[in-house]
Amino acid sequence: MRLVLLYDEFMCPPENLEGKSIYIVDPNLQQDYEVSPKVLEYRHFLAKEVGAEIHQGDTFQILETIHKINPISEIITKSTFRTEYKQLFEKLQQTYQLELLPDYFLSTENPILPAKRFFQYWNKILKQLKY
Amino acid sequence: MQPVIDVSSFTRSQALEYLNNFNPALYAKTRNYLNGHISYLSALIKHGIVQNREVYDLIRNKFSFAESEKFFQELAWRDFWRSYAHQHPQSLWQDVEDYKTGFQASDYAQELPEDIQQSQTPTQVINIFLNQLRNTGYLHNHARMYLAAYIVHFRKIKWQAGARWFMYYLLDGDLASNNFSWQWVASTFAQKPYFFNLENVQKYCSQSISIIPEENKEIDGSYEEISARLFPNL
Repeated sequence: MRLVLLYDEFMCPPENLEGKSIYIVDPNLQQDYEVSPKVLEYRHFLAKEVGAEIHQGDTFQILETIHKINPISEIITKSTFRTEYKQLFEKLQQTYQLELLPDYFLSTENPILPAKRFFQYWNKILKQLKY
Repeated sequence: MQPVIDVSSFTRSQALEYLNNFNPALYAKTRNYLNGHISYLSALIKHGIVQNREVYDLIRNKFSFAESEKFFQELAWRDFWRSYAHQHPQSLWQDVEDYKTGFQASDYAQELPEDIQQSQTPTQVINIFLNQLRNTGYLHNHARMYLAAYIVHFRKIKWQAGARWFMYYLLDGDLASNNFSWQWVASTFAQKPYFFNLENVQKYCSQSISIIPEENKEIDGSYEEISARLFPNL
């Protein structure tokens, strides 16, 4: 089974992507700050909008349980800068075939650039955006 | 005060329909006003429902670059913060630079006081924004800047306390945009602190909220007066 692992930055799989969508509310991935019940409710709403299966608990354990019942051939999700997710993805890679879609940026070529002020960054991506 | 659009039920198809009527030139002229022509896309972009590149492509098909540049810049702020977060994830909760306020980080309080948490500060407009944040999970960007500047500079509280509090309530809470924007206001990721006065709030908000000058004395004064009051060491 091909699994599309949704999380708060990736609540809508790309249109042409085949696979079963799953959204896991995992408190282990929410360590630096808490979110309100309204935010959680909103994310449930978004998950339901795309017909995702919703779970709550430890992501790795939940995937393990699913894998035992219906073997997971591949997990697809999106990359991020957030350390706890990077660690999770590294852990998942040890067990599953994991495809990480690129993070979302306005510029399509080399969006991660050294810049300490906005206009340094803007001037670097402007050539790509101007038409 | 409620946002014009209920962000908590704004779907992808509604957003794309709204974008069809979105005018980036009007956005550039009015975006700082609480009732300005804004996109309301932040929660959908944060959650990957609509991608900023997709928004760029849609706008590009209908408007010239000159008409759209300001809007694209605002989308690019999100990329800038995100790019920085990819390279410096440790800075998400740590000061990128020192405060440029004449104070040390240790001069700022760690926690939000009760009156802010309960929307009972001495300043009426701040209480209105605090209530909106708590009740709707959404705030206009200018109101976010006012709140952040009020918390950090008028009340001398660490930006981290405010950023964490925003992340709790905001439906569009994006860690990079939120925390680095707080640092921009605080001056730990900018060349100078951002602050405001009552006159500025009146200019941009009076069409949307009823402002009572006697109940906003804490933020009343010229920029020179307020700067001298907030940053006496500079």
